Amino acid sequence: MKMTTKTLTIGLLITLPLGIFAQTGYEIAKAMDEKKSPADMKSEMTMTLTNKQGKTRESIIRSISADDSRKQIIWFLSPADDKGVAFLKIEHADKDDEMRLWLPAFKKVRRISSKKKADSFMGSDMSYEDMTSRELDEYTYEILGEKKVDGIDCHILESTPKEGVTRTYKRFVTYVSKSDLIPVLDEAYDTRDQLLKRREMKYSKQKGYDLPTEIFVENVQKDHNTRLIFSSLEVDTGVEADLFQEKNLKRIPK
Amino acid sequence: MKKLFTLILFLGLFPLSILAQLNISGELTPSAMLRVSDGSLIDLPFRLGKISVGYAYGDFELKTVTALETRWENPEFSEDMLQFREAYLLWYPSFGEVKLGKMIHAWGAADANNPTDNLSPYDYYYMFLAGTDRKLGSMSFTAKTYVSDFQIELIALPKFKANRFPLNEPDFPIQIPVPEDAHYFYPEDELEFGARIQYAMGIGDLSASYFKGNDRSFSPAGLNIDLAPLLMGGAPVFTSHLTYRKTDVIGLDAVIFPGNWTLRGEFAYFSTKTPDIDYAMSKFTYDAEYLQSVIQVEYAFPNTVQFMAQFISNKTQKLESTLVKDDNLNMLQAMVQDTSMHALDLYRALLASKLPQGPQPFSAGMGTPFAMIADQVIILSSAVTLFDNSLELSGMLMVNLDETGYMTNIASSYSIKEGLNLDTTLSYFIGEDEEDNRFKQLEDFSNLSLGLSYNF
Repeated sequence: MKMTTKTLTIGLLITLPLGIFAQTGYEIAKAMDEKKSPADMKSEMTMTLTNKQGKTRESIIRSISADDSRKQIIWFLSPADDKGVAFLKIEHADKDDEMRLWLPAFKKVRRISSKKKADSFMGSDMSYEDMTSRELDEYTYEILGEKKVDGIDCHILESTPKEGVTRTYKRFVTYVSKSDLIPVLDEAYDTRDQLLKRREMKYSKQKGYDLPTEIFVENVQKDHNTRLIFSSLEVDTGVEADLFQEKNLKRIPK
Repeated sequence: MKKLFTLILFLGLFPLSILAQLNISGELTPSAMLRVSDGSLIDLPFRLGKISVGYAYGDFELKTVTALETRWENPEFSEDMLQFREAYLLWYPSFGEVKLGKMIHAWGAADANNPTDNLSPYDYYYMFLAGTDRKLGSMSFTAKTYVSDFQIELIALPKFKANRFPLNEPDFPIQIPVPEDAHYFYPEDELEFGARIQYAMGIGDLSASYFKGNDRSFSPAGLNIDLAPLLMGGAPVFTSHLTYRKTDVIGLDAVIFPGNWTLRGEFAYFSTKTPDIDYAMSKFTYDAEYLQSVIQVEYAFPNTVQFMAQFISNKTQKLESTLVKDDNLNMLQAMVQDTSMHALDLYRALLASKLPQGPQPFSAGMGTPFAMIADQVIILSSAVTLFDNSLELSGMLMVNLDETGYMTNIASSYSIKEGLNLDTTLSYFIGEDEEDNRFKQLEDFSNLSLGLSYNF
């Protein structure tokens, strides 16, 4: 069964307060996974990359996702040299995921490997793996304790890929809001078990969902960060399944 | 006139922008090429900039791309400077997409060197550019539909368009041997059509294509000899005739992802024949089959280093070339047969230059442009981005496996500020000391290219 913890994708992070009293790490993760999520989501975001010298590069991107972000299209609206570039991702349960890039200058939809998950997405601190869903049953979970993050009482949940599951991270430590069962802080450790990325998420309530308003991803080893600020967010708009086709990569929606 | 019509169409639709979604983008790309040998300027045209305008209205979209071409030395100010590269209408019905107008196409799985990509002619002035910048738009109609994991595309091109070659350009490295007075027979049957089907598998994509069209590059069609001047004591007048062969292309391309590698491959089988030309002359006819392929391997290392290797091959499988002589040629050959008559030496030399002994040379009129300079080529390239994507460095080595020759290319693109890049490329050619070695001919073209690109 395909399940996700709904964390850390660009469009994503959606949960409902179910009030489940979770005893084990797995139960917390399962409760997060089972939270009702929007059928689809449309958003426009400003993505700001900042390097260690403080130099910034800003992009505006539009995203439409569905099926718990297993299907997603992202269009770059700016800067001018990236305008029109678009990315399509379709996660499959029974075969390799599909990832395609539309490069207007080449007039080609280029299929890219879904195995190169560690590659940076458009120079950001998010990798392709960060943009795909985490499968609930591919990890083991352990509660490491409790802590307040920005005044929110959180479980500290450790997720480790099971043996045989290839991931670019050795483990995650996620601070999960006890009341809303949403991740507010997530730390990703590299294969040497060194902290690689730190992710902070902020939410607002809309239509009963906890929807992201801001995601901040910091690569602590490179001293580089990416901030995503959601300027518009619509959910359950009835996105049709055939939107996630190559032809729509070439067509920036209004 | 056509350009004027396009301009009127463009301006006429402008009021729609009030209701439609208007997208305007463009780039300014002043650049110059300097010879490595002496620092002198290579006088070839370049595109100073281009502007893309798109109007989207419901399921319809109009796209235009206009470029401005000029040159540093002796720029000629004419309407040819303004190039309407594309102007087409798109319709996105529920089943797929439909396009009509002047546009550039791209088929194939590999990068840049695509044997299966024969829809759009190439602009040889811009062969060292990437993407669609090195192609020309042509009138076409395409329809594409998406059914489950399949994509099916049909295309028709009603108006023939040939490659643009730099003829009589002293600074272009490869001189194409076309007599100034050559006469071209353009295809009578201009309609070209094709189809492509792509299947998305879990492990990659597999595509098959078919295209029936006319060669994009010309080939010899015949030789006309006017013997009348002989009566006045003059030399016979030779006129070379060129034409574009009819060619069928069956293509197969695929991309798969074994492990952490990406493998892209393309194979194309070409069957080509000289068309019947109803004109009194000695005629060259070709009936040939050739195969072109490209195998591309990619690997992405950590730390943004990308590696790519391509092996390109062009192989003639069958070649039947004939010369059907007319009476004038027979007569002249009979005249010059007697080598003791030195008075005929001039005619003999003229005839030899126009009609070399042995089989007529054959070259591919379609397929990857590299087939023009070599039959077997390996390209190795690598790129890395540094300083938070502010600087991109890339290197390329092309090795001609047929006759010793190399091309190396080191390029950098530095982001001065958002949208503004400084591009520098050093290209160096080395060829063995043989007269016909293409890379030897390219040696003097070794150059340093400097350019700015500003996107807006």
